[in-house]
Amino acid sequence: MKTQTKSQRLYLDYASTWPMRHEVWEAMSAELAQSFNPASSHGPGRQAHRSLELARAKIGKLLGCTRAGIYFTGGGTQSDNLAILGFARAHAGENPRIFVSEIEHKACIASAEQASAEQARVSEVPVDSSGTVNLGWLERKLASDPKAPTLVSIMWANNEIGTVQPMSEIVDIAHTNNAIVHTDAVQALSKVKVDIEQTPVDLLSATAHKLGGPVGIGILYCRPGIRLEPLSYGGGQERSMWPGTQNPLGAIGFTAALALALEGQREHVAHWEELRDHLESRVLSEISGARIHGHDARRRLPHIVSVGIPGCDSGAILVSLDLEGIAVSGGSACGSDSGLGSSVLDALGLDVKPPYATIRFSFGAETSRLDIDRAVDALARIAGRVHSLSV
Amino acid sequence: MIATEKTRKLALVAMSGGVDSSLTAALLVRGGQQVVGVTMKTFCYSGVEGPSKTCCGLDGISDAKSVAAQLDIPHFVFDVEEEFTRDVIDDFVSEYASGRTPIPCVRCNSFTKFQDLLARADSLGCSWLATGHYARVDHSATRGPQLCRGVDEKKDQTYFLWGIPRSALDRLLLPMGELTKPEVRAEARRLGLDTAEKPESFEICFVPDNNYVGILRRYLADDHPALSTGPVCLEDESKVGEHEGYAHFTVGQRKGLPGGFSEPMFVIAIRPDDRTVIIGPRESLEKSRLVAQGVNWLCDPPRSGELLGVRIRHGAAIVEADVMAADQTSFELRTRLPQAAITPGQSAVLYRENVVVGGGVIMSN
Repeated sequence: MKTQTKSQRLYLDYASTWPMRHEVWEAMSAELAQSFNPASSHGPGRQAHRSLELARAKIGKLLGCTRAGIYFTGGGTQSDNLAILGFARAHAGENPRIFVSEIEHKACIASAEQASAEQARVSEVPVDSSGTVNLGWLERKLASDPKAPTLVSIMWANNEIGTVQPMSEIVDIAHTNNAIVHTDAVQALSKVKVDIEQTPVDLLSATAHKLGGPVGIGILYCRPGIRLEPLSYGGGQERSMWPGTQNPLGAIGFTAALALALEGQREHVAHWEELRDHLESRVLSEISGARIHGHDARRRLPHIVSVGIPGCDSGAILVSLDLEGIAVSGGSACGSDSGLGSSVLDALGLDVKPPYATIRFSFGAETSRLDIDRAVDALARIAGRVHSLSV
Repeated sequence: MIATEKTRKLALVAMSGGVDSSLTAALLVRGGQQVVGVTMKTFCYSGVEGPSKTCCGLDGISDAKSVAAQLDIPHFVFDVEEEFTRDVIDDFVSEYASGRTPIPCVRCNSFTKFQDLLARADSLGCSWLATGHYARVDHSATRGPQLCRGVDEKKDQTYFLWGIPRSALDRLLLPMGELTKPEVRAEARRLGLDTAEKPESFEICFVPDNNYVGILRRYLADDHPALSTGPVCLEDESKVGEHEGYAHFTVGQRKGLPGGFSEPMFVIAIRPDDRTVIIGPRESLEKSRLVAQGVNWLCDPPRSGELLGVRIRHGAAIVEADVMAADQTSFELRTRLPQAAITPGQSAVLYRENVVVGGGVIMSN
């Protein structure tokens, strides 16, 4: 085997993290020496506070909401927890209901489980074989108890298979039935149109590192007037919703990344669609038994392709690709430590009797057609070897 | 180790997250070997223990992952829960239910590590499988590779390895067998491995707090004979007490027996048929005859009449024994000196000098 050099490395795992973009790095570098505490009342503190608030205002503008609705957190998982558990705790004693889809990110599923342990009524909204939530089911359930405080949490687009949910319809149904809507828009943001004015969700989670920004900074949008109980307590920062010393540098990075990603969105999406179609057609024609998860490409995120290969094992394929310098992931990077299988594929009702490999490719602005060819060449060769050994 | 034909081939290293397997991976990497790390997820009690979704063994997985990152080698988790439950936990439960005292580590090596994991090595294109066991493989022996005791007498783990397929020896790398435990610690520290100071674990991995009866309760019905009261009798069948289930006992055990005797009493035998635990004085424990079944040979089987070394318990001395009979499925031995507590379910492992000849599971006399 050839020795790996850095130039031979190929990164196709942007859905796990979009490595920090140069412009973001530049924007943050300029502020790096000005790391003061925004809560301090002196001059340097005021400057830090100003940076933070400018970032908040800009993010609000880019998302189509007021700056008063934007709370900075440590990332997507924290935002999801604050939305779901914060709702459940704010309505403790009022018999609250929480609906999450079967294919939510683990951050939402686990928050809902905790809410359930704290006496909230939690239900999972079923999805069809494409991963789209069953709106009829949701409508019936919501209508059955319209007086109870109710939160519907449905991710805007799925992180493993890319399915985009009909968010406007979900919001309509929920609001008609007196429920509020939270959406984890971590993957959807800058890949499909996410505009809170147009699609008036009540709570929205996003994180910077999926946009080419830094790790460790996220936001929760919370429509003014919605009651959430904070999950931790401290000095009142972020209007007590997420107390602790704020992170202006992260906020600057978030803002720069979001602005840049939205600016390039139209161009990126067109590029990604071309790459996606190329990858999908090669995989389907060259790898025996391979399938693409989720429904037709137009209703999926353009930069994620989830490939299923029956008769092969995910770990074997992922490691073999890694040895060739190709970085992709199985379902979600978030479940890979525990070695757990994908509950998303189970929810789709797919026949995924082991061994069954799931390989998620995801693209960034720099991904080229040659990269896709190299990855598919390697995948076809490796799948052939792994398959012949597992049957 | 210089980059030779051997190092150019890929090695799969079984990384538990402990210091031994961490150093195994590190030494191979330093020798120029191309290495992939794997951690087996063998069991998970989440959902049984309560709302916490913490998986058993997750600490080990994350320690292994950080060492792999330190060494810049790929690392993945191999979910063998189904296979491990079938081949190791189910056997553990049924052996205790039959009044024997099993060694799950032997089963795990024989099936999970050196069969299932080896198949995984194939699918990754790995020619070698490396583990952190204190044992050696002599790849230069003329009659094929041989499993040999590690240089650290106290740590030698060949007792747990007799059941692995003979064909696997050819592909095994066991670098820890060349070192003593203090040398391993020192080397791990010198290399700055994240797990260098991690304490050793002496527990059975799937038995929390050493409470094996708790595991049996999880798998057996509440009224299973092994967990139900029964008589404690002397060798002449006179009843001297009651016990809470024979699964609590093992041959040679002294703890938990009725008192009031003029000399220390030990469990001599367990009779599952009528749930009887038979106790007696120390001399009743001592026996010379040993029959083993479920045998595996790692060399050509011994001849009848051959004098070999045998170890009947982990950490016990290797003692001389004459082979009375040996075939592909069983063997019978007579030790030169009587041995205390030849315990059904434990392993009898045969040695010719340093070399492991094979082994089997001790049957009731």
